[in-house]
Amino acid sequence: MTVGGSSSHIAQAGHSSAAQNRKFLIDLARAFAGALIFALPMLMTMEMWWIGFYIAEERLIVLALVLIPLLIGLSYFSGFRETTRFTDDVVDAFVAIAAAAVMAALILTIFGVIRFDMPAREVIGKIVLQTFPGSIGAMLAQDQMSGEKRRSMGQKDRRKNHPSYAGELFLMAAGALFLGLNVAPTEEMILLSYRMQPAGQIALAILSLVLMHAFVYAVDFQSAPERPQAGFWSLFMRFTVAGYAVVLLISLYLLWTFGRTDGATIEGILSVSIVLGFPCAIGAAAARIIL
Amino acid sequence: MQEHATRAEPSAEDSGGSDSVRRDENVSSTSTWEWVVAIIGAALVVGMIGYIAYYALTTEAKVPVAAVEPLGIERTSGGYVVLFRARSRSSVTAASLQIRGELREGPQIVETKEAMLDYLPAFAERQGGLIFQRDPSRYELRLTAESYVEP
Repeated sequence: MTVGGSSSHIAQAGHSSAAQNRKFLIDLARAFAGALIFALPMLMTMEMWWIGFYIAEERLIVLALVLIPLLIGLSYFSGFRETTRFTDDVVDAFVAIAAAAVMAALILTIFGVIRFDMPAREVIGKIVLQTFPGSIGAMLAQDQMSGEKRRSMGQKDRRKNHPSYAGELFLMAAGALFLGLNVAPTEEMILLSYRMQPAGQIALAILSLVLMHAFVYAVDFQSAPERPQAGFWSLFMRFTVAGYAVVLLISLYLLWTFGRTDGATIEGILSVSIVLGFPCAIGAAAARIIL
Repeated sequence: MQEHATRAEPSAEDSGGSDSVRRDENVSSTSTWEWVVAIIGAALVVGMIGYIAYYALTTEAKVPVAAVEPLGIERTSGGYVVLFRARSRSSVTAASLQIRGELREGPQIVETKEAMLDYLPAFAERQGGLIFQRDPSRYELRLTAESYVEP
């Protein structure tokens, strides 16, 4: 920077920060909209309200802590703006949390699910639980709602067009968490696992694998149609089987969070993991295409 | 915006203009307001986690404690509605909390009515009503919490 250029740099900085602020307000509005759309099914699920107050405190804290790296990772791969530095991803993660928490507090107050005469523990529990899906929605809002075409290749250099293998597994975990969270709190997961025979549970696990593998092929074709396809077993083991293992772990984590594993037998936990694994598998597989 | 600024001082167009644009992109695209909102988000996270952790460490109850008290009596065409409030004095949530109301005359129980609360969260209160056919004001009214299950 030359001395002569400094005054114009200051003028420019003023202009560009005003433009940045304006763009940020638009992004923030999108974040609120995304939070609302993604969290709405859970805002209107009564189990989510109840779990908010009876969930064990340490599990609620773990959930809130898991959210932060999850959002930073999502901001890195997707997010509501182009980020150039790690700090930007961290900032975006907390913006998403702020938008989701405010949205959840507002909507739950309007619904009368939280009231001012309720104990703080109950109110905070309900808001934390809703902030989880809401902030994921806020983070993804730009990609899904901006109406912009995917950015040109030149702008995408930092964004991972072809994420590393660990990145792929991370996206799968995020997709599984998100879709699984929609259904994990409901009583129906347990009920389905009671009603299904072992043969039905095995069939559901196989169906999950088959569907995941179909998605794997779709991604493989979409990202590199001209490249020679990797072998069946290579793709199957690296993405489908490894992905399903991630999915089952996410199912287990969600079930533990919502207290569904307490006092259950191994068989019971396994069968409900397979039931919850079905939506998680779809979420995991779809995440690689959508994100 | 960028062009407008450089046009205002054409002499600096080459040296300052393109250089600072590139610098802005490489350094950060985070605006001031974004920082403000992010700090609010971080404060919310720290505050919520902090409160929950504090709560977990300072409460150690094992069973729910529910106090049931009458709030008033409303006479309706369907009977006398005794409004009640169940208040939790424990950090444990009760599910399916059974509330029982009795009208007594000395040792004699004249009428019994029950209500069930789906949940009574820790330190929270919930309200309901018991509908008696006899006038509760002419008898001794006794309200108790009878049973619960863990959520």
